Amino acid sequence: MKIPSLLLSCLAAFFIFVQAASAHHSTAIYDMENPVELQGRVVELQFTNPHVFIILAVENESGEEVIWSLEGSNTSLMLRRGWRPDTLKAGDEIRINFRPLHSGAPGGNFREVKNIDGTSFDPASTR
Amino acid sequence: MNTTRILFLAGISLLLSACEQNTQVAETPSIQYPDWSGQWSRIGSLNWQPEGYAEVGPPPLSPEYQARREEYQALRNQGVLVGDPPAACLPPGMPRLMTMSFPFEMVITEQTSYILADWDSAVRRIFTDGRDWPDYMLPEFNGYSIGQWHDENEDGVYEMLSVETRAIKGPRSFDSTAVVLHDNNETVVLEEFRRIDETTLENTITTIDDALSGPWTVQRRYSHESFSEDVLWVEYVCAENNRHINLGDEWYFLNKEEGTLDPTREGQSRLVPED
Repeated sequence: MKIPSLLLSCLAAFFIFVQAASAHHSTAIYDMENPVELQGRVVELQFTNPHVFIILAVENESGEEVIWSLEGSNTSLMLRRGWRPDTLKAGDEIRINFRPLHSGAPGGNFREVKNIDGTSFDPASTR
Repeated sequence: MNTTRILFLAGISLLLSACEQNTQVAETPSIQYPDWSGQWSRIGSLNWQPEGYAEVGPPPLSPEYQARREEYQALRNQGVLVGDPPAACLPPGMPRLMTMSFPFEMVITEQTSYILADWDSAVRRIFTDGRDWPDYMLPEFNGYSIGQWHDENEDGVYEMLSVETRAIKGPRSFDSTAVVLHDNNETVVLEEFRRIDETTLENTITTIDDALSGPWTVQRRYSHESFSEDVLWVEYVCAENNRHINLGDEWYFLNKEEGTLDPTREGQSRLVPED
C-alpha cells in the first residue's frame, strides 16, 4: 500500500509544481534567471489576490533595514498547498528564495520559503 | 345566454381541447441534459496551446501581430509588462478565460448554461433558448454567447454543447506570452464542449481573429472533481492587492509599504508622491 501512496504524493507534488510554475500572468518584471535568497524578519503575510505577499525586513550590508515586498502565488493555490492567513506571523524569522525585480528595487517573486536552518518550510507545522 | 350560443362555445372548447391533445402527442420526446456538475480544473499549461508552444510550434499570427509579439517580448526582457492585460487586473476575457487559471463549475438549465469561474469570479451566460443575435450587443470581456445542445448519438441525452461568442471587448491576449488579439476586437470564438469520459471535459475552441493568419483551433481539457465538502472554491478579487501599475507606456511595481511606485526595469525612475 505504501507504493501507491508514494506515487500519489509524487504526482500531487508534480501537479503543484506545474501549477506554481505557470503564473496566470507574465513574470516579465522579474529576473527569472538569477534567483536570490535572503534572510529576514516577517513584517506581514498578506493573504490576498492577485498574489499573496510576504513583507520582509532585511538588514543590508550597511546595517540598515530594508523592507522587501515579495510576491507569491494566489490564495487559491496557497490554500491548496496548506497555507493560511496566519501561517506566518510578524516577527517570524525566515529565509526566502525569490526572483528579484529587474530594476533592483526591493521587490520580487518568491519561489520557496525556508526555515532559518535552510530546510523547507512546511506550512502545516504552524497549525 | 341562449342554447345555440352555449352549444357553439362548448364546441369551440372541445375543438381546442382536441387540438391541445394532438399537439402533446406530436411533441418530440424531451432529450435529457447531461450531468456536468462538480468542479472542473485545467489540464495542461496556461499557454493558449495547452501542450505548450515549444512542443507544437508558435502561435499562427499574421505578420503584423508576429512583429508586435517580438516587439513586446523585447520590452519584456527589459522588465516591461506589455501584452498581458490581466497583469494590470483587466479580465482575461474570451477566449483566454477558458485556460481556467482556477477551477470552474458549469450549471446547465434549459434556457441558459452558466460557466462560473473562480478566476476573476467571472460568469459566462450561454443562451440555449433558441434566440437569434440581438440587433445591438454591448461589447463585454466575455462577449455574448449563444449555444445549442446536440444529441450526437441520438440516445436521448445531449452530449455536446456548441457555442458561438461575439461582441468581445478588448484589450485581450490569448495567454501571458504576448500573443495579443487584434485591436479591432472583431473576434469570434466557436466552442464545442464534450464530456469525453467520466473525469474529463473537452472544449474544442476555434478562434477567428484578424491578428491570426487563419482560424486557430485548440483543445483544452479539464479534470473533474465531484461535489463534496472537501472541494475548494476560492474567491479571486484582483483589485484587492494588485501591485502591477501601468501608466502610459511605463509599468511600475506598487510598493505599498513605502508608498512609492518602484521601477520594474533598469534606468526607470522611482516615483515618490510629493508632500
